[in-house]
Formats: sequence, C-alpha cells, structure tokens
Amino acid sequence: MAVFSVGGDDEISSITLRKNGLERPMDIGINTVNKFYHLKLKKDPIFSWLIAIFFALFIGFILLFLLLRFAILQILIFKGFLNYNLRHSQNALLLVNPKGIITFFNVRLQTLLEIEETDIKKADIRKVFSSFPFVLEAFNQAQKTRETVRTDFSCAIGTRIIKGEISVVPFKTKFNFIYAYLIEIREFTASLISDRQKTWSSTIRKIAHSIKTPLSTVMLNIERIQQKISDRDSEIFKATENDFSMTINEIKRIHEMTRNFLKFTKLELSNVREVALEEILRETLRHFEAYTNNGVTIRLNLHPEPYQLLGDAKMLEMAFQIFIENAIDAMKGKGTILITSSLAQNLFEDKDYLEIEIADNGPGIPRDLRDQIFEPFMTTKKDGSGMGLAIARKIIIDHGGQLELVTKENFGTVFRIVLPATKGKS
Amino acid sequence: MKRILAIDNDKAFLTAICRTLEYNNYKVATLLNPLQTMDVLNREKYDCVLLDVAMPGINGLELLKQIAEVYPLVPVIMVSGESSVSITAEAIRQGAYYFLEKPIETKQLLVTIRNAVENGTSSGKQNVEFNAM
Repeated sequence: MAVFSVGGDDEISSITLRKNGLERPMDIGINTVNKFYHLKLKKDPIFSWLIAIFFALFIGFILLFLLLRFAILQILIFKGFLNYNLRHSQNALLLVNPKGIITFFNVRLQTLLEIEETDIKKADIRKVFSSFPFVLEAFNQAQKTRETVRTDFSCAIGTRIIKGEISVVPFKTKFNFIYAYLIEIREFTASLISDRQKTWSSTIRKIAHSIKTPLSTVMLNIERIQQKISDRDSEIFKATENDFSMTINEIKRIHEMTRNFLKFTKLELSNVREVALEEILRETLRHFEAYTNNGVTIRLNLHPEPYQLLGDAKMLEMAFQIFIENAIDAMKGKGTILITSSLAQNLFEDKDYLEIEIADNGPGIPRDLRDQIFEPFMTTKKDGSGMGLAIARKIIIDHGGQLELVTKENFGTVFRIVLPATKGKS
Repeated sequence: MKRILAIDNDKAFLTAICRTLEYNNYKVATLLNPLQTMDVLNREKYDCVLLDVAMPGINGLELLKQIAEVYPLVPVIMVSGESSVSITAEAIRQGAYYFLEKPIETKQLLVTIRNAVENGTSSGKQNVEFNAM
C-alpha cells in the first residue's frame, strides 16, 4: 500500500481520475493549493516474472544441493578408497605430523616391524622407532632438507633380517608449509626369495620330469635282461634274482625321490596325519647311523607327554634330515647334536606348540651369512646345491610352523622349530 | 604278430621299448620324429600306438586327437613323465586308451598293450592309471 502526503501547509483541494483508454490504467490527478500532482499507475516489470524467478531460485537451490551432495560423496568415496589403500597397502605406511607425532599407520607396518598397536598410537616417532635407526635417520633427513628422502636399508628384527627401501615424503602446501610426512617402507626380502623359489621350482620340476625317461629306459632294460636270463638259465636267474631286485628297488627309490621333489615344488603336503615327533625323529636318525658310529653323537631329550604333530611325516622327516645334515657339516663330522622338544602353550590362542631345538657345538654361522642361509642357492659348500635349508624352511612354514636360527661364532648353532601340536591319546 | 608303433623323441627309451616288446613277440616300429606319425600310419596298419606326451614339434595330445579322428579303431596308449590330473583328463577326452606314467615297468607295459590290442579302441574303452602329483 502506497501512502501519499503533501508537505508543509499545502492542502489537497481535489483528486481527479484521468482515463487513458480502455487498455491502460487511469492516472490520478491531485490538486493542492500550491501544486498539481500527476500520479501514473505503472505496471511493475518484475511482478509478472516473480513466480518464474522463485521457481528458478528453487531449481538453483536444488541443483546446488545436489552438487554439494555429489561433491561430499566423492570426497567420502575418495577418503574411503585412500584409507582402504593405505591400510591394505603391501608396503608399510606411516603418517607423521611435523612435530613427529604419529597420526596414521597401517597393519603392514606392525607386522613387518613387529610393533604392538598400543605402542604407536599418537606416540612420538622418536620413541616408537628408537630401535629402528633407519626410520629415524630418514625422517630426520627429510625434516632437515624438507625434500623427499629415499634410501635402502637392512635391519635385524629378532632372528629375521629384512631388506628394502624407505622413503619419506613431506606433504607441502602451496606456500611450502609442511603439514605431514608420509613414511613408506618397502620390503624386498620376501619377493626376492619368492622369485628365486619360483625359478628353482620350475627348474627342479623340469629336471625331475626329465629324469623319468632315462629311468624308464634303465628299468625296461634291466627287467628285459632278467627276463632273458630267466628264460635261458633258471640257475643263473636264481643266483642273480636278489641283485636284480635290489637294483630295481633302487630305481624305484630314485623315482620316489623325484616324486617327492615334485610334490614339494607344488607345495603339496599329500599325506597329512597326526604323527608323533618321536616317530619322525626315529626314521630321520636311521639315515645317520653311519655317522653316529664315527664321531657324531646325537642326543634326544624329548617332551615326555605324547604330543602329536599334524603334518606329512615324510616331508617333516626331510626337513629334520636337512637340519641334522647341516649340523654334521658344520661340525665337520665330529661333535654332539642335541635334539630337544618342549611344550609351549599359547594362552591367547589356546593352542599347543612343540618347540624343537636342534643344537650343534660346531663353529657357528658367521654374522654376514646369517640372513642368507635360508635363501635358495645359498651355499658355502663346494658341492652343495644351496637348496637344503630353503626346502626345510618351506616345509616348516607349510606346516604352520616357525623357524628361527640362533647362532654364535665358536659356540654352535641352534635351529629352533615351532610346530602346532595336539595332545595324543596315550 | 601284432604290430606296435612307438613314438618318442628319446632314442634310448624307444630302443628299450622296442627290444622289450620284440622280446615279447610284438613287431615294433619306432618313430623319433612325431611329425611323421600320420604318414607312417597311412602307409601301414598298426594294432596299437604308444605315444609320448611331451615332444618337440607337436604336442602328444594334439597328435592323439589327429590319430583318433583318422584311425578311431587304433588304441593309443599315452606315455608321460608328467601325470597331472589335467593332462590325464585331456588325454582321455581326446580318446586315449590308457595313460602310463614313466618310469614304466615291463609287466605293466605288457599287460596294457595286450589289453589294448585285444579289446581296445582309442575312443571308447578307456582305463586310466596315474598318480596325481
């Protein structure tokens, strides 16, 4: 509603309506004592667009809302994706603020460096990684240079040696302000071993298959010779029967060995059953009777309760044979090997384990070889294949076990094998 | 006298097979080059074929397929150093009469060949013996 008023002492004398035709609204004339006011009614140009403007604004708000929702969703998806990738990365990752406080880490970091979660949350990197100088050195260098640092490392964790590359990447704003450091640890040890083992597996498979053809030839020839003898002279057949039988059995043994190798390269534990450690060791020690009579003493001190291992007896036998052979080699054929077993109960998992130690009083393994002895093709022997301990390690791991090496120069070596066990019936 | 065709790229193995079978009253032809197999089979009639799986030039299983197509009544015994389930299954699918794993024992070889010659065709009556590895 519009209010019209005349100013001062002026007074309205008359108001007239002025017609402008049928189409247009009338004008209003106002006469006062001193002035004449001519008021024209004009149509508001916006008025007819008002609904359209409101509608457009409404659509605009909806579009803005959808855009915002889309943006937020994208950010959340990206954040989730990033978080997932960081957590499940094959590399160990650590995010640290400029003060050195840990703000993020992934599971790989914990498993690789064997760090408990409670030790690391919001803790100072200098405290948590005090026993990992390669991490602190790389971090300090990145803080100092404000640039990415990338370097190789080698580190001992318990009896395990890990090798790899560590990189520290500073995250910067446009104004060169560092707001975080990403530390990434890439381990090469496993892939190195895995690649070598793959090559070895493939080679050994080819060799094992190739052996079978000449074995076939020898077998057929020997059996044919025996058949000829049998057809012509029964006396000679009888006199040689035992020799032929022994020879054929040996050929079958070679065949069985190639089969075992093939099974191993495919990592198959073909005959898994409950088996007593004592039974495995008894079979294993039969291979060493010639040594025990000539300078090597093997003593057994086994856990008295009847605990059973779940595994392939032949495979475990092969592993124990390798450990004992290594001990005899280390002692140069003279010395004492002590094999002990004790029961270990994991209270958290409610599982039983047998800890088996094979200790020799040889010269020990030099420090620089300790991290390599389980690697394929690693040997210090003139005629060694370098596969023995790699095979043994694989067998133990395939049985869900763990293998550790404790050695001291001039004091001897202990192979410590931990295998899951169950209590036997009697 | 029954005629056997033995195909393998290992000369010593072929000689051993040949002598063993000849000693046991079979007439044996040997073939070192598997690519000549179809020519040899076209020229002469054989009662059984002994065929190695892994050979240079042509895979034994491929050759088996060709033989089974052209000569479905000739039993083919596959011989191999590798006896995986997949290879054996493929051999049987292609129509092998039997699958022998190296090293072969004389008794096993003779029994298989006798059965193949007397009863077998390459597609139909199949028996399998293998040790999965």
